[in-house]
Amino acid sequence: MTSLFRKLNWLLRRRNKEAELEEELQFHLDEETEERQAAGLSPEEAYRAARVELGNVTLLKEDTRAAWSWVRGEQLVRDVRNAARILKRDIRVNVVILCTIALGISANTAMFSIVNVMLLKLPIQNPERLVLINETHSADSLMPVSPGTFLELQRTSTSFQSICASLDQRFTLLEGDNPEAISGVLVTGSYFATLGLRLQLGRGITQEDDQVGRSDVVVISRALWARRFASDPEILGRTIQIDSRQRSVIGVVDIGVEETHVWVPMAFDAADRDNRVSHNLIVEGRLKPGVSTESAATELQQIARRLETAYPDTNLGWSVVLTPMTERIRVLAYLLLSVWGVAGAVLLIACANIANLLLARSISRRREIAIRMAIGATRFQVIRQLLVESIVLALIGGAAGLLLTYWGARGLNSLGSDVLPITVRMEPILLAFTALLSVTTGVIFGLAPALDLSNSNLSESVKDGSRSATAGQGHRRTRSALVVAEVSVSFVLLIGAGLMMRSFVKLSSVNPGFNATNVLVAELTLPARKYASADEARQFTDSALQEISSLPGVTAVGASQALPFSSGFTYGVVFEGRPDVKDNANPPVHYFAVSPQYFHALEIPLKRGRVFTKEDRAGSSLVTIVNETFARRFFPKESAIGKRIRVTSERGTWREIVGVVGNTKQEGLSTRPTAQIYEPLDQIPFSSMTFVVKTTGRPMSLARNLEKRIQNVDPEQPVAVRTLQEIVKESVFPVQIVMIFLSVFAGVALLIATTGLYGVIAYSVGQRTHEIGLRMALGADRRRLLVMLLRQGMFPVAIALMLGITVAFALTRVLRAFLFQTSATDALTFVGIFVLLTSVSLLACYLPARRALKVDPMVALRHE
Amino acid sequence: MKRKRPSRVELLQGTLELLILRTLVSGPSHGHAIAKQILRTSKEAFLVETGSLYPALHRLEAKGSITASWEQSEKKKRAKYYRLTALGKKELIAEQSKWEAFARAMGLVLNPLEG
Repeated sequence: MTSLFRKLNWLLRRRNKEAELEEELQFHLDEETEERQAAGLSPEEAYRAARVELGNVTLLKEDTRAAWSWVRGEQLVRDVRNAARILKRDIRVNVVILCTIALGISANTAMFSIVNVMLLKLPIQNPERLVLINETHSADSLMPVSPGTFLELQRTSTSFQSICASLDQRFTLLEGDNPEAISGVLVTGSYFATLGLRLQLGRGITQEDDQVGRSDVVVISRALWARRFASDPEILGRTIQIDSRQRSVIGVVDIGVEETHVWVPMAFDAADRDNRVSHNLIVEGRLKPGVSTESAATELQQIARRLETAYPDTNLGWSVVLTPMTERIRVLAYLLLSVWGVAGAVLLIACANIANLLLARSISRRREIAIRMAIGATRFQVIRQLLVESIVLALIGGAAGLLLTYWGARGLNSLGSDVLPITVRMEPILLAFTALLSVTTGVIFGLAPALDLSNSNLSESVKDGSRSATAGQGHRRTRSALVVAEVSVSFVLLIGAGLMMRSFVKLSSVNPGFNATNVLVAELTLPARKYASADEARQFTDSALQEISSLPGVTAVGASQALPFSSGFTYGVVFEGRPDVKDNANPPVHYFAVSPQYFHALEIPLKRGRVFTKEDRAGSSLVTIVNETFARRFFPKESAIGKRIRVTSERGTWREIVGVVGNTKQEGLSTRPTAQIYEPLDQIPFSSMTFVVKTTGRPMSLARNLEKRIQNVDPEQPVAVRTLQEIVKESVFPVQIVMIFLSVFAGVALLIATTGLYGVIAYSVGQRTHEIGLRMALGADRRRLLVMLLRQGMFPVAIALMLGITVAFALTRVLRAFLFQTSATDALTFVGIFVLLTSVSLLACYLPARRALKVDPMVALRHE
Repeated sequence: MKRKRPSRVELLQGTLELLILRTLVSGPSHGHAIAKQILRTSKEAFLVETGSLYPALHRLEAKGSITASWEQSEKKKRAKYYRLTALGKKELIAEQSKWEAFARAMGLVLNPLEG
């Protein structure tokens, strides 16, 4: 304790001590001079003699200073300095090592960033008490909830602290002259309280805001606040124009990555309150403390049964179910952590590879270490120095990896906001994680070579020196084992990536039933205040269709109230002349109200009968079109044409089926076709609709003009334009992102493993140059020698492949959820990856082997 | 070969510190005086190099075996005086007995008949 204090004190006084030492030595010099003068020398001679006696002052001072140093700290600094010197010495190998570390660390910092943002910083409080509530018809797939049902749940259920509804929607933000389409969500007044969304500023939307006539408020996301308002702290109370309505900003949500940027009050009107047919609300509830999900589920069942009796026309066969939110988070966590597991595997491969390189290099350092130990360095000191070397390498590589992640993420983000769902911020926690990971990595790859080297036996190494300290049998076996590990892990990762790619290709080549090429979609909602009557909405639609079709470059334009790849609308259907059977006769089908040209614009094929024409107007006979799945399911033995049906919400108005069209995918490319019906938009106008515009050239170049044409009809009508392709792509996003990550990681693993393999072969061939020369001098056939070298090099690869196949069979099962029409043990993928890895390995062995055989036998013989 | 001075003996590694500690038993002293004292008491056998002396003094100071302070020398000049600490005394006793045991053993091995 006192000694520590003294040393600390000294460190602080260090500058002072320099002066003191100077004075002390000067005193010594003076004394000596005086003494010599007393012995009879002249002053000059005495001084010179004293000076000689003092010796090399610089060295003396340096040695003395060494005594002051804080021993341990100084040693570490010396080790680091040593490490830097040694690293500079072998620059080529070190660059390979640094790149390897950078790639391995980068994969993991990327995953850390994603997990940090998506799981650790979830903006929702206590997600374990949140449940998602859905309606479902006869145990079919889960559907969103209708407004009428939601209000009933909110009014009567007792299991929930609060319960809220939301509806995703696209809005147009008008700030200055620049309208921008952004995604947002309509929410009920209970939304913020239910989710417990954390706010950066201000307050969330409350029940008071959520009323017709009082709902001119908006909450914006932190991202939007930063991007459009420069994180203005005075933003609260400012009005911004959203969908041609002035809304005053009341809060900023602290949210990281989600797509949602604005939250506006739902404000149900009287019509919504009785709407039990439009299943479009996302409903979430927060359980009261002490209420189990089971008892809440039972209560929801009871409410659903009550609704069935009260409103048989709309609610017959419908039940209400819940899914705990943590289950959704668990799915996300499972996905992220499995991808992270892959990143970890890449880092392990990197470690194995570097350990291998260091082991190869350790041969040339064996003598250096042996001598150091002979002159008194302890084993611990040697291991410490070697580990410091590894850690310095790992830290440099880690820093490079962090930059790689940072710039990589920025590069991908600049390509488009949809490419990568992360932004990497240089936060302290990320830096700390990277540093910790780097040090760990350094210890992992440095430990084996350090232990190996510190075992050096002096006499053996120094004696062995002339034959460049050939590695022993055990040494070679360790290195082969590392290669086996690397190659087999790479094999498993490549199989995973291969399966994902195959799924993705299959998914992308699925025919959605329509042609999304060059199709623009313009989404808009007519304000109820302005378009109170059906006629006004009809008029707007007609004029807009006319305006758009006269736009140069437009070949077809249609309108629909819903789009494929959206959750859309579902209705129950009743058939003329068939009894209402609860389970079968009233199933939900996807519903579209479309203009005549809709099928043409999307190239949905007509199978039988006719499509709508201009004559199918309000007032003319009521008609409908169904898709093939509908026709096959409900009219399996007869033609559907001429039959009469109605959706449950339209009482007493039978519609005649006039055509059958092809199926379109509804909830993503991987889903099975659903039954769909179409009605003429003119006979049943909607306030919310989408124009689909087939163009000749690049669709987005027309976006601005398209908007203008629509605003020719109503200058105040905001429109959100994007391409249909975009919507299709979004649906394959989860598969795509898993595939991209797995492919990149597997590619990196392959690269690292191949370098490792190459290094090992090149090294062992190099070691045997002498033997090879001898064999050639004795007349051995070059080709036979090559085969021999290849066989030896490929032996560990063969073992690794067998191991890899076994492990892959067992492990690819975890991917099953992301695979589409691809078996987890897909033969083609296994064979393909097997061939790929075998040929890459062969090449990695062949190149150094060929080089060794090209050497002149005499040179090889003389080689030491 | 004729020598002007009595034969010098090279100091063994690690012995200089012991010599310094022993020298300081007779009272505080500065670097130059310590070197002279060692030379004198060893009958001119041990010439302490300045280049080893000061690092050794500072090492002992860092270890806490000796302390230093600036005082007036006999010639009224400022000099750095070193004195033994309690720790230094303990160390001296330990090192001295170790050295004596070593020297005795060396003697026994080198001159077995005299034993």
